[in-house]
Order: sequence, then C-alpha cells, then structure tokens
Amino acid sequence: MTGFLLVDTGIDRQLAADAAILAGAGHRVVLYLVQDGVTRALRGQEPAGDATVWVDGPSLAHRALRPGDLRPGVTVVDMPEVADLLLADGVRVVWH
Amino acid sequence: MAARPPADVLLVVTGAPFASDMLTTVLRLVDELLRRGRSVLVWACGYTTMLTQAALGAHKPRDVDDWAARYPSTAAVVSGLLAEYPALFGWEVCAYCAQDRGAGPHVPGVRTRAPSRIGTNVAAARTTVYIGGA
Repeated sequence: MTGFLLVDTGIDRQLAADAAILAGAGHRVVLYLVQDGVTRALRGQEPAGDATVWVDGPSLAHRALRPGDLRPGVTVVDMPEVADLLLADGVRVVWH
Repeated sequence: MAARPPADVLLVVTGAPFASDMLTTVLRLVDELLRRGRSVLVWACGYTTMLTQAALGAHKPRDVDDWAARYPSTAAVVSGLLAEYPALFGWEVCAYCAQDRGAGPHVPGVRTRAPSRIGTNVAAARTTVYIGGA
C-alpha cells in the first residue's frame, strides 16, 4: 500500500477531493493543509473522505485562526510530524 | 571542493518566493530535516534564483514599523545554513533561470548549475519534492 502526503498550500485547486479518492482506493493518505490551505480546515469546508487531515499550527497562528475554528477530526501539527512522514519509506509527496 | 553525497531530500523550489509564505514553509522544513541530521539539497529555479544574490547583503531593508529591528536577508539565511551544516546542506541555482532574470552573483557556497543537473539530482535523491509553479 502506497502512502501519500498531499500538501495543500491553498494556491488554487483543492486536494481534498484527490485525498478522498486515494483514501477510498485503500491508500494511506495524509492531507497536510499549510499556508492559505489552512482555511480549508475551517468548519463548513469540504471534507477529505477517509484521509487523515493535518493542519499546520504556525500557519493557523499567522492568520489569527484557532484550533476551535476548525472542523472536527482534523489534527494540528508542526514540522516534526511532517518530516517524519516525508522521510518514511514508501511515501509519495505531492505539494501544490 | 569534494562532491556532496546524494541528498536524503531534494526540494525543487520553483514558485515565486514572495507570492505567498512558501519560502517560510520551505525553510521550516529544511531546518527540521537538518536538525535531524538528514541531508537536504535545494534546487532553486525560476524567481527563487534571486534569493541568494550577494547584492542582497546581510539584512533586509529596515522595518518602518520597528526601526531598530534587523532581519536577515534570504541570502544571509541560506549562507547561515550552509555554514552550520556544510556536510548536509546544499543550495544549487539553475543557471538558465538565473541568467534569464539577471540573478547573481550569489553568496559563497551557492552553486550555479546547468539546467540538466536537475536530472542528476533527482536520480540521486532519496525523496524529491517539487514545490511551487513556474
């Protein structure tokens, strides 16, 4: 089973749909929302199916957003968690 | 100068560096990886080639809201990382992109490479991450 780290910086298109499709196909998927991408973890935004959703803590703080503003089920992380996954065997990284 | 071994992580950075906080994210990731003892190579393409110009000096222009504050230039940040992690960190600049933008000369330690070098870097890296757009 291939693992995917999808990094969504909020530039244009959303990776949430891609994450949901990959997770639905049985892949291990982490959708990491960073920079303007963190706004996609706010309440009311599109979910990512069975993918795990990470939200970058410093990016939230830079935008005066708080964990309480986020939809349930997402996890606030920082670079150590991202580096762990990036360095793991069998993980493909897509940064958009 | 001895050839550097293949990088654990190759970051191909092509996006316009000040269109977003992309560069901050990249430098945070680089810092985390280096502190773990992992080797990192940045391949600077497009406007990212302008970040390491020697003419940028050591500091950014003064902050009009905080006249006493001094912040390092991007060139100084990269120089600092190269000095602190000489065996683990490298910053290579695409010669074509740099020439197209008049970017250079660069601070010591930054290498200007032919565009074809990216293929060698990708082949040698354990993990490659492409960041940004042209």
